[in-house]
Amino acid sequence: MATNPKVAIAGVGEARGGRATGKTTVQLYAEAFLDLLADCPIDPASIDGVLTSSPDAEPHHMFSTWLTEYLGLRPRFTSAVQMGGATPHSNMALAAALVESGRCRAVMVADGDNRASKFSRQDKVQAMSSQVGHLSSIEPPHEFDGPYGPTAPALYGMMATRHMYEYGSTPEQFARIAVTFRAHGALNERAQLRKPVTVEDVLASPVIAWPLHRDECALISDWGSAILVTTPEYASTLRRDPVYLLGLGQAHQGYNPYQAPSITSFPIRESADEAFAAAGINRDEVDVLELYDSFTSTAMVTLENMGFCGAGEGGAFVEAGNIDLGGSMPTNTHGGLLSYNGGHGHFIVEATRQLRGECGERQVADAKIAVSQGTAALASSSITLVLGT
Amino acid sequence: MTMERVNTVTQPYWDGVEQGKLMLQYCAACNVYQYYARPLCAKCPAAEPEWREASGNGVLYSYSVVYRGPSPAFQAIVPYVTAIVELEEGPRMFTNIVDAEPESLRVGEPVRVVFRDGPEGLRLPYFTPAGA
Repeated sequence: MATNPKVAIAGVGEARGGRATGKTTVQLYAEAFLDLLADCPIDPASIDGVLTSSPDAEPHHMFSTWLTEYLGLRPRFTSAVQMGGATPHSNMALAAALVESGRCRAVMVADGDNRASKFSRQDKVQAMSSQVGHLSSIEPPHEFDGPYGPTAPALYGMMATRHMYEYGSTPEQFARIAVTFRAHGALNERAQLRKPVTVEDVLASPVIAWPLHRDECALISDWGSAILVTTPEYASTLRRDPVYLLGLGQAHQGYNPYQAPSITSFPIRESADEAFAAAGINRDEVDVLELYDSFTSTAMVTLENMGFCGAGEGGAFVEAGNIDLGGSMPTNTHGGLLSYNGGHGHFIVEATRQLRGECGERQVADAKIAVSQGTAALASSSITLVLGT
Repeated sequence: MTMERVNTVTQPYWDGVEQGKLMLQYCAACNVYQYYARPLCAKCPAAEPEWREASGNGVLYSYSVVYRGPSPAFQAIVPYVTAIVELEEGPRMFTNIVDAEPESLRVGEPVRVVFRDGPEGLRLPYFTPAGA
């Protein structure tokens, strides 16, 4: 293990999100900020870096500067990043660089959106599609895919179809992933969907984009999250149990699925290898895994590409219970995008809470190393964070 | 329908579609074809790759059957098939499979280009099973 971590997480916060709350995006950010202050007694004047997403449902020019005004912050560095579902992970990497370089001492990585409130039911597929930027448009820059009616579920559906072709995986195996994450969400009072489901239930839910069913698709949610990234020294003045960033890795290969060399094998492996090497750990030392599960296919491919099982072995891996609480690699312990919330920052928040031992019924006993895996652009962008106590 | 485009680098592709031809860029230095059109070869990066007509033959790389469309125009034609087709020349492209029952499709099967007006009125290259 890395003996001298240079970056720490001193606190985390979340808005009360989930189903349509009627709140605006900045309101959700503000709630997450206040929740962070309740978790970590930092003077807001000491926050000298503010990194945000570029919200989809309520876009705003120069969003991060507006947010600093809204929250009354005056940082030395701010930017609004667009990295899809891996936006908070990308911002964690930037925050780490800012802290390690000494440019900033306390960086807030914040994320939020009010998609559930803003998008009507009819707009929801479009909303999900906008998560990956694939718009139904015949004009540049979407002229080579937009005219064919792409949707996010269709793109990840193609990932599942190809996986089935290459490896003989089955709809039941993909559905099993949704069953596990819902079972985990059932233990989490803040999860958006808590009713347990069976493989049969998942496969009986409406087909959104074959082979993917409704219960295999990310929730549309309101959310807000905030994470305070700082030096280990400063973190120790703010709380007695900071969590440390032990390693991170990134790899990016482009954007469009039809340009990717493969849609079942992504740079996730490079990203994970880099992060594990930086942390000085082996895969089998990971106690808990929080991975971006926009669809069951995303989770299947990510488990394989991260090396927790071999290529094509993901179906058998999940059917054997390995990703369940109590299994060899407990995954998405809060319920993930399929059960907890369709937002993006909560994976890192949950990893932090697991390491702090705050997760009640869903707590992984004695968790010392937690990995949060962000992917975006199908999975052509990958960012891996290794956190530890 | 044709449309006025500001993106002139892609105009030869769309001119080809109007003539019933699938046009690809080709880089002589790399001996590779490229889809979609760019002002450079993304492999080497020589400027201004030449244009060549593709055979229109390929195989079905993957597909999904869409039941929830992204707009009213597409919702009106569900279920429809989005697909990635791997062209004989090498590149893959995003498209729809037409004139086929979705249940009959098989990854890896040969497909062939056809030109149609799309749900939004734009003339486009589509693909259909080669045996059909």
